[in-house]
Amino acid sequence: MATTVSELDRSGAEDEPRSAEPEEDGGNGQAGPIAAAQQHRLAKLPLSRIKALMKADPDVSLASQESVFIIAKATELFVEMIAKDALVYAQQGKRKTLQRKDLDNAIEAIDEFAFLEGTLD
Amino acid sequence: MDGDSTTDTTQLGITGEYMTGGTYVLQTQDDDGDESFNDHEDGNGSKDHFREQDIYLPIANVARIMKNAIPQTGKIAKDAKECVQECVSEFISFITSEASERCHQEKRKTINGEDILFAMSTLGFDMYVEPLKLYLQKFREAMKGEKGITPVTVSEGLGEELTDDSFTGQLPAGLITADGQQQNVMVYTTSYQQIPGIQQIQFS
Repeated sequence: MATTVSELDRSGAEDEPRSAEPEEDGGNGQAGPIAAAQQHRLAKLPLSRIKALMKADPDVSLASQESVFIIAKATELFVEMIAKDALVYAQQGKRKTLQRKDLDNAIEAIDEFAFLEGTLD
Repeated sequence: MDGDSTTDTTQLGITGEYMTGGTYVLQTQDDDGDESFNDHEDGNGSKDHFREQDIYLPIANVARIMKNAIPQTGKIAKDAKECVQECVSEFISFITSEASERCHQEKRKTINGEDILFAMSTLGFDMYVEPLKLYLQKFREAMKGEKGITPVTVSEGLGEELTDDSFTGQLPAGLITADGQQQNVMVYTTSYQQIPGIQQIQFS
């Protein structure tokens, strides 16, 4: 399986947090507790990857580990929400399979998802 | 599977276990404040500067969360999963950017939990705030447990770790003094911190 740089690990499993990890050696004092948070199964998403996303924003200098965790949980809620909303459209179409167009419809219909318009081609 | 340099664990300064197991074992360095991460020493920063839109959360995790939201009999098309994957990255950037702005406005450098909650509220995700506060509480409790077993050296630890948690050891309430008389003397000294693995200092 060849992954190009631009394709960065879309299909990664949860225990495969590679590619998009500009991790540094220093400044990892909180790595222990964050690892612990994963171990405690508090977050279903890899906190390190979320941290990488946050750091990709040039305006972001520092973020507490709490903030990374909260975003992780918020993201879970977001995913559930958008899936549920899209499901409505699938059911309208008498389908059991959630499709891309269901998500498009949900994004268009719901105000909170307005920020997503234009990000998907 | 390892095509690019970013998967070189030695370069990233992480152990092999990090890549294989479900647990993240990163080499910790306690010289830093444990509240924030910063970007001083990005050894491979120039090489691995990914744009926000290139970073995604693993699709398996995303798909699993989606499945929670739909009936068991339901299925999710692959392009739908990918779509949500992209939306997620967008969502995180969106929230982070808003939180970061507020932080700057208040002349602070570190984005904290409150900033995120405020950003949620501002951006129309007000309904998340209460559940998130609950999760935050759980997180804090879990972290308290972890902090308690952080090893400290005798010389440094005594200065910094003098919290109430450190004073787990006390002299017994009754002391037998030299003249054989038992006295109820409570001697509360700093030397009796019972930090596991640390040699106790006896002041006589």
